Amino acid sequence: MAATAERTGTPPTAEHISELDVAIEVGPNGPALGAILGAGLGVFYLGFLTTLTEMAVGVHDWLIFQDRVGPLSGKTTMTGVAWLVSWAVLHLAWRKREVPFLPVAALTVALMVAGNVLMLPPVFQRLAVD
Amino acid sequence: MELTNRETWTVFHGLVFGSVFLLAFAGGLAGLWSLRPELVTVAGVQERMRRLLAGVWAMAIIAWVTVVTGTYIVYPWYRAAPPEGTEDLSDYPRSLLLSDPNTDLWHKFGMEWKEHIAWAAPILATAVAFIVTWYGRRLAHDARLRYATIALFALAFAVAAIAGIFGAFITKSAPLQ
Repeated sequence: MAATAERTGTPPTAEHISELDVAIEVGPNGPALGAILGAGLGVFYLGFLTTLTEMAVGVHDWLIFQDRVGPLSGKTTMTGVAWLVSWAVLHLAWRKREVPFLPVAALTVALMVAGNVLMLPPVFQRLAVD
Repeated sequence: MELTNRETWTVFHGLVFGSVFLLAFAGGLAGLWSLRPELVTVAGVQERMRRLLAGVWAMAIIAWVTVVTGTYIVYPWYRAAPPEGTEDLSDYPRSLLLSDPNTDLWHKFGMEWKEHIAWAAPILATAVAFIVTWYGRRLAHDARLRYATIALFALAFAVAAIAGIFGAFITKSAPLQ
């Protein structure tokens, strides 16, 4: 039916949609929400480390993984590690589950907003110690 | 019309990789937006998935390449400290910008924001590429999931755009030579 419609150039019909409905089962949304929440955590980790680096000299110095790059080398490396670990945990926990969409989406938005705020120079510079 | 080594890397980081990123975003966004059963047939969805996968993975990969080259190749040149007593700061962009109150915000705000927010782009883009790969054509059947993916995709572009715009203005004010 779909092939016939494609050949004749006619717009999709109810048969196309029902054929798609029958042919495709979406499956649990856990893997997708794990990736989405993981990304939100990644953004938050980066913002958190950015501000923490300014507030704690010890953290600042510890995060200098490369002298030429400075603490940015440690901030980004640790963010990457924490993001991947978090995502892996979420994926393993949710990969076969149907997870409530709105609470996870709301939490992701909150984490991204917080992370981006903490990355704003007026914010972390105000909290910086001399 | 020769470019120095530093200028070449700056061009690749900002202009070349940025342009590829933009192209990949445009293609990926169009692919995601039109991935609906009412717009395409079953065969059409299967055909579009190949291009969509190429677009989202290209964007994720180029985003990683951009931030890594920026952070570990270009940024050290930008932030290098001049030897004591140096009067001509043109080879030390960070110090040059900070030496003048009319330009110091390009570093204190522009670069300080750009160097961090840019790293959100590959994280977000990779999540999108994973979702498209995992679900494939099933994304056409779940509008809420598809819109969430599109939102993540657009956010990846937005943060990259912020970093790119500030990068362009900073390079204009204090170019790497």
